[in-house]
Amino acid sequence: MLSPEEVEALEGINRRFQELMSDPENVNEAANFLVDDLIDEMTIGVVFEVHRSAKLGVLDPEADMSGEDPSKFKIVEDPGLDVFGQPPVIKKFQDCVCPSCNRGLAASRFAPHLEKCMGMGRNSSRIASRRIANNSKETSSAMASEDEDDEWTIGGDRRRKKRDRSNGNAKKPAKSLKADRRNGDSNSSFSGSVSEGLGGSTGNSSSIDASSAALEAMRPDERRNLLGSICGVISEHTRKLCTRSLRCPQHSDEQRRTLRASVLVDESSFQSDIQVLQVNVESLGLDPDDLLSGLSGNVVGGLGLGSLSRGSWETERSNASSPADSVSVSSSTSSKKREKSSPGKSSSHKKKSKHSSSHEL
Amino acid sequence: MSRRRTIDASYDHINNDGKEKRGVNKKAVNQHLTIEGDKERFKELLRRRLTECGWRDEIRILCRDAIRDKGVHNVSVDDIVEEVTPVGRARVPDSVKKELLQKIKSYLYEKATK
Repeated sequence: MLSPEEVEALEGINRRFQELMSDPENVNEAANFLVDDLIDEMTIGVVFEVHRSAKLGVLDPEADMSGEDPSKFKIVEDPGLDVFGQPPVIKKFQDCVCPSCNRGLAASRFAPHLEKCMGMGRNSSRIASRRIANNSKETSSAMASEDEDDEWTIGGDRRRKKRDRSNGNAKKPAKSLKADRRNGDSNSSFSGSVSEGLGGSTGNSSSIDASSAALEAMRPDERRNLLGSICGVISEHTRKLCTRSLRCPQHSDEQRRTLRASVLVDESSFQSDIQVLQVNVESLGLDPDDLLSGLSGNVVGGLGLGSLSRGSWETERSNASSPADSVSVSSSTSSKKREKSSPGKSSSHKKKSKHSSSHEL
Repeated sequence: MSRRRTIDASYDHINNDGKEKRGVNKKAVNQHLTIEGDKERFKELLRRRLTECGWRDEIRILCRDAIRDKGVHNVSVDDIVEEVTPVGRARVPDSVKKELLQKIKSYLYEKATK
């Protein structure tokens, strides 16, 4: 592999080495030299390394790092700060600019605002259509020929009609109420006595079931219909009727039965009370027609049983030939009902009859 | 082939080393060590020792300072070597130097008596 010259050179080196090493002084010197040489080589190695990285630009970041305070880059462990030592940023609300009105809005409010601003929602569409209708009304005379305008006017008219109707509806009950009150005022003497007389019975019914006021506001057939379709048990918390089906799991059959018993029985006894009262009024020698308006108005206001009383009144009047007869009939029916109803109720009925008798005298 | 190359390399190295009085002797010793492959062994040992004691990091910092002083674009390897070598030699811990010296001496004695 090696040429003869090279082999010779190698042998020469070896021979020389042996010669040199035979002298201990040379050995020491050689050792020192070798150590220095090795160290220099190491140094050169490092120098090359650093020089190379410096020329390549890799050294710069490293150099920058060494100059700065390393504590700056430590992970912060203080409570309430993140790892960079910055306080948590308070939730920043993003602002949106409304394209319609150019107002800045919180992002969370943007959609509702846009609904109003662009006239997309229910309310806003009403407002917008009203505005458009007004505009078109003004402009329709000028540019009635345009199709679009016609369309909008039609829409606007319809809207306006609807609005008028709703306004009328809203006004009507108020008017009737006023009229009723006027009637009641004109017959104040009667209404006073009637309400007094009814006071006992209302107190009675409310003591049995204070929360059935909602039911009492209905007519008996309505009441029966309602109770035939819904559970109807009155909640102790909300004082409202349970509107679920007859077999609602929240209330027991027992509860439903007691409610029906109390409400329907109460109603029937109530009816008889009114009959008695009406008869009493009649026996006092007053025109029942005059009384009717006052009575019904008052009853509607107080109990909402005007129609009931009226219906019973009609039958009463047609059946009863004389006041005395009617009294006996009504008293007999009421006494029958009294037997059916609870003892607590019957006592109040006695009171009632006493009261009516005082009127008679 | 590889052997031949190492011989050439060692020649080059020695030629660069200068023209001292005992240059020839040094050359011979160096050649011998290189040829036997023992030089690489010592070098490896020294490298390990110097890394352990942090000498390499020191030298690295010295080099960086030298480069920064002269500017990255103006500096040459020779400049750095010139600046760093004396300091580097002085900075080598005595324990490392002694150990290495001891090892080389015993090696040389061994070779001589063979």
